[in-house]
Amino acid sequence: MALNTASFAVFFAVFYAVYALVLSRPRHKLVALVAGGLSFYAAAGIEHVPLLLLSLAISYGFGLAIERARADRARRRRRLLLGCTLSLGLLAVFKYTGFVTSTLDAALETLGLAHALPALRVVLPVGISFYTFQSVSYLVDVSRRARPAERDLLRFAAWVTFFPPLVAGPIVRARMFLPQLEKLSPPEWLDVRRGILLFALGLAKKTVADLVAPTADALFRGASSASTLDAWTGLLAYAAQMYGDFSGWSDMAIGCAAVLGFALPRNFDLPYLSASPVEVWSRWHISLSTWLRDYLFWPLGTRHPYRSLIVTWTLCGLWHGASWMYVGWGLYWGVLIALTHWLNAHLGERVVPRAAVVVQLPLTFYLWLVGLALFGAATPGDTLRIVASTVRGAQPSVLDAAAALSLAGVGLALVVPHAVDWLVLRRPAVAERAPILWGLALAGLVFSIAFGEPGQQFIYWRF
Amino acid sequence: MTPHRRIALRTFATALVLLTLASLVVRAATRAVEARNPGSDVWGTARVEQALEALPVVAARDETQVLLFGSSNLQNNLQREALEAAWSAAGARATALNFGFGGIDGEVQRLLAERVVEAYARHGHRLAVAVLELDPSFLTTRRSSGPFARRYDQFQAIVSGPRDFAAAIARSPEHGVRIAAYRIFLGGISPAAITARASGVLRARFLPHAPDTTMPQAWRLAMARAAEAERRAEPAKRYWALERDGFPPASPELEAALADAARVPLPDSFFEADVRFREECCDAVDMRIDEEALSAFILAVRDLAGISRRAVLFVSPPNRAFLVSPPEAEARLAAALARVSEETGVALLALPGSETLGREDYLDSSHLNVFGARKLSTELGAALAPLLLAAGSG
Repeated sequence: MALNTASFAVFFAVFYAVYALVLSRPRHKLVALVAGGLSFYAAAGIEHVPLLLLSLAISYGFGLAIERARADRARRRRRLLLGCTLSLGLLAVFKYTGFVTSTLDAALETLGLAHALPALRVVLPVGISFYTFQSVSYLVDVSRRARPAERDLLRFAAWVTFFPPLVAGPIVRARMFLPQLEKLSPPEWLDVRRGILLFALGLAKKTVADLVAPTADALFRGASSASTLDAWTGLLAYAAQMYGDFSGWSDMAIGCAAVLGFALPRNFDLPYLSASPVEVWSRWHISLSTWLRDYLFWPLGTRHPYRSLIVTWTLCGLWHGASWMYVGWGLYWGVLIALTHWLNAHLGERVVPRAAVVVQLPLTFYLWLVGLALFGAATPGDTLRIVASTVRGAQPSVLDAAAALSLAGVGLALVVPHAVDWLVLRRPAVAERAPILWGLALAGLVFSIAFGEPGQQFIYWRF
Repeated sequence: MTPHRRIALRTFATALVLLTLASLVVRAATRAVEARNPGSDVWGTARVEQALEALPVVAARDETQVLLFGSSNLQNNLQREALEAAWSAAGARATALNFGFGGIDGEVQRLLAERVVEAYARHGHRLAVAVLELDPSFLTTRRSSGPFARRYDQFQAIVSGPRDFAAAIARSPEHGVRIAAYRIFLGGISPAAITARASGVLRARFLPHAPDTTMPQAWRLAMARAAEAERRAEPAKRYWALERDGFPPASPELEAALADAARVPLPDSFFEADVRFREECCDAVDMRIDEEALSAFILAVRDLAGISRRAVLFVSPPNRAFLVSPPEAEARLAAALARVSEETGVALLALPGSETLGREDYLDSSHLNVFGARKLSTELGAALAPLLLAAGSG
């Protein structure tokens, strides 16, 4: 069930009525959270509920097992390794089986052994990447003694199955969320207001994403014949679509959680106003990039930091999708981030004058667009053609009225969501004044009702 | 009351106020756009709405009526005057009601039939004859799940009654709640239609009208004259006008302009593009029938036959110069017709003369021009006359 559907509106109204109006005992509320989460997940495919429960059981059981081995470091590490392997194994089986067999098959075909392997089609359970990452972070945290293992199975299950971020994030760590489940304190009205605003704005962002999606699709479909204007319009549309789609989902999830009385981590912080690749990833999908830092980059070691960075980001690419294009995309960002750190280390930040931000901002955004060309194109050749078209198109650009209207629309789709987010994030005192807050929420709803097609798929559901 | 409950009640009240305000603003804005652009019937919903508004008046009339129920083929291909002249020549008198609607599907047809039956039952009246067109492109799997499938939701929102909404929600909560939301918040219009309307307004305002240079100049001039004549014949555009019983407006100038347009030979590429579109939207060539849509159509036929003294099934003749189906597709259509006929007891009306319609009689791959429409209407009228007489309308 996606957050932009009429079904979710009904589900949430019923759930909220039961959770906040009917139930008063904390244990009952926890039961409601688990039941609500499982129903929410079952709506996306009831056949995958056992997998969620299995993942829950693995992380719960191994969390306790790791804690019991507190005194024995080697045993603790073995248990951590086994728990993580089992959790990530589920992810690997469901997400990468097809990728591995098709890659092996291609390799065998090259050796003249065509069709040596049977074609395997495994349906990817929605949200598996997100709850697997949460489980791994929990096991590592318990092993590092960053938090004790959770003994209360009901509370643990309420965290794993908490529905707003369940299928597409943000990734919510146990140490942030379990303490909230212990208190289960009612929300402040200010938080609820903020939650309603975020939900309405998220819905509007998703609507923006859906409106510009055809423009982006047109570029990726006709990569070989794009003019410079087509390439720029299409890539800017894809940038607006990606931001609207994913930050829209995150806002809606954070908003829902706030209405229920829970705080989730912020996942986006004006990423298109970044001045370097490192900064981009401290502002985009923050819960993933900090997860990668804490649970992949640090364990890989800092003796060879650039190598660790490249490996981390290549794996991040693979996490995004089981295809070599995503691996290439991750490698691209790994190299860029490593290069930025290397430049900072060797040239020093002092040599870069403040005014350079005028160049850094558009340059970083261009690098982002190149990354999007890798992310969205079907083949490396298409990516190269699109990137080349941003400089010299396959056809001459014709800036007629229709093209100008399309470019203006895409420009608005990029600027307006960022401008509104800037107000909400950087000027909260202004954004939370009643007339502005309710005005923005109403505008978001009006825009979404008028132009949004409910039920449009979210891009990050695929991951 | 606990603090959590107090906050929850406040949250519900706030959400309700926001949603109500938002939908009121959207409805007001949509109506304002409609009022400023009276010629825009996005996807044909206005015709359905106006037909439903007219239905109680039509059903209350004590007269001999022939209901022509089907797709845009009936909406466009039939001439009321030619039909009634054919009946008059045979000594029968009746009023033809045009319930042909474009852009709908089998399920919407079923719901429309329910509304017609309810209206006639209220007055205790019966139709003399019901002509029930089976348009195979309404009943294909691609139409049900293809790129335009979402469009039918707004028609469903308009024609559904409370029980239909409940049934839709029981079948698919997501779909049922969505169409109910269209009805409650938007008066039956889908957001996609609003987007299309807004983009139409923007384009009309900012983009200069570019004439389609692939079409002959004489055709474009004649069509421009036709548009002007249509505007004069019906200044306030209505899509289902009660005084015309759902038929398009008529005037000598309009007919002359349309005849001039029909005399201009159109390029093959125009017809071929239309076939490609119909193939893409609704599998018009291969006609892979969706069982659910066919079952819905069967219910519609059964309902309407139940309030008619005579009922016949009808298939509009396609432009066979361009829309050619392979034998297995023709077999699928024949099987669908046989099933409808078998399950409803309504026989297919054969019109051998329609086989002689040539490419010069069509304005695209399925709709007839004025000459073709006159031929078909005359033949259909003659074929229906004995049924009318048998139904006691002499």
